[in-house]
Amino acid sequence: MRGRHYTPHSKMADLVGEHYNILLLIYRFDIPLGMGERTIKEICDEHDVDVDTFLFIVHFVLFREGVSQKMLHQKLSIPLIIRFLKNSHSYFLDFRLPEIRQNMLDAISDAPQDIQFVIQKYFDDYQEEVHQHMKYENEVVFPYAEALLEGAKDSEYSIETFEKRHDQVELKMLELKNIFIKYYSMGMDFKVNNVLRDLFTCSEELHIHNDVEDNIFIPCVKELEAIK
Amino acid sequence: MSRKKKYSILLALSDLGSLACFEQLLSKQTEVGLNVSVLEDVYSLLSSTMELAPDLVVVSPQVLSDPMVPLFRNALGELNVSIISYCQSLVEVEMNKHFDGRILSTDGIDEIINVLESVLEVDSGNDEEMVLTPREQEVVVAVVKGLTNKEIAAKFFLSTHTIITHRRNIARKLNIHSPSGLTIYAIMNKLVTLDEVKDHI
Repeated sequence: MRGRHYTPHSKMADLVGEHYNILLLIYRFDIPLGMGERTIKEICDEHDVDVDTFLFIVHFVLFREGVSQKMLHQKLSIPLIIRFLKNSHSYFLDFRLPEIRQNMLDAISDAPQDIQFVIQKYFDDYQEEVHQHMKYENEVVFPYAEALLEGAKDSEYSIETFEKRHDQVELKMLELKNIFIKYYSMGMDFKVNNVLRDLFTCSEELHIHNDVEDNIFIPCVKELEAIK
Repeated sequence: MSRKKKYSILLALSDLGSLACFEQLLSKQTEVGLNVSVLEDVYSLLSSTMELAPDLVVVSPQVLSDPMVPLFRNALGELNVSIISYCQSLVEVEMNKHFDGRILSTDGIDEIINVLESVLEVDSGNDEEMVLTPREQEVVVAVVKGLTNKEIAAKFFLSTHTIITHRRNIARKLNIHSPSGLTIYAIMNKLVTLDEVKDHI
């Protein structure tokens, strides 16, 4: 069933209240809470957010809509998409992953030392991988796209290079979740349960984030490359 | 990719109404692979059972009553057939000493699948396939100790190709694809000690 669609004149509070996963999105657009009765357009204007781009990403995340549309770069604000993705990176790296790490270490603190050690090692390595993955995007891919917008075409690089190496960064997190479910036999408590739920939801968040990059950001940049 | 075992089942029900209902329910389920035969003439129960040698017979108590089940089994001799009664009343349900199980005419599809799986000992999770073989366990230990495929091959006098196949099967069975994930698995299952692997992780 197709869900409810939102227009620039829908109330922002309705959108966020009806879909809790939009909560995460609005922070990445630098939109704070306390939205009162204002419409999506009013709030977006207030915070320097292009309302079409905002709604495009919202409907993509909610209903997988907008994929394979043409001339995206004319409809959407690429600088805003980059700002959104950068904020998203900082959410994962500076908040979400460290938080899960802390909760996980806390939850397994009664497990034997060796098990604690390997789980911590696994997660630290994973965090570093995610860090590298996102650092590359921040330092190479986004500046490349920004240069394209300015009209400069770097002949050395193309977005295809990025597309090819853009791996599914959430897979190792899902793997850890599976290991816990199948082999962690230290007894179940609510803390471990919570950590598992975090692994589930954070994998999903990472997946959505990657999807936005693959289905919105990359096609936009490809269009830019084509007109240069 | 259907490697699922198929079970043969013979229906010997006393009336066409129950038969139609039950057959329809069975046809809707895909959990248990079944080849269904229907006994047209219930008086041929014994000879047909011997001829078809099904895994399971579902009978109405009017066709084969509970006290007669041991005699029936005797008559079948070597043939090992599970027998379930198809009950339409609570009185029939009570007489259930010799049957391997019972299905009620009011049972839904889930209850029926449950009975079939337990009587036929259906291996629904194909556990057998998901457990590591001793050789695969050895490969896991070698991997988490930091050996390369080539080194592992040399150690077990196998080809590198065989080791790669083992590793692929391990990944599929455990649903663990990274070496560091295997390390957690190996420690949790006490296949190695931390000291043995510490330098390689």
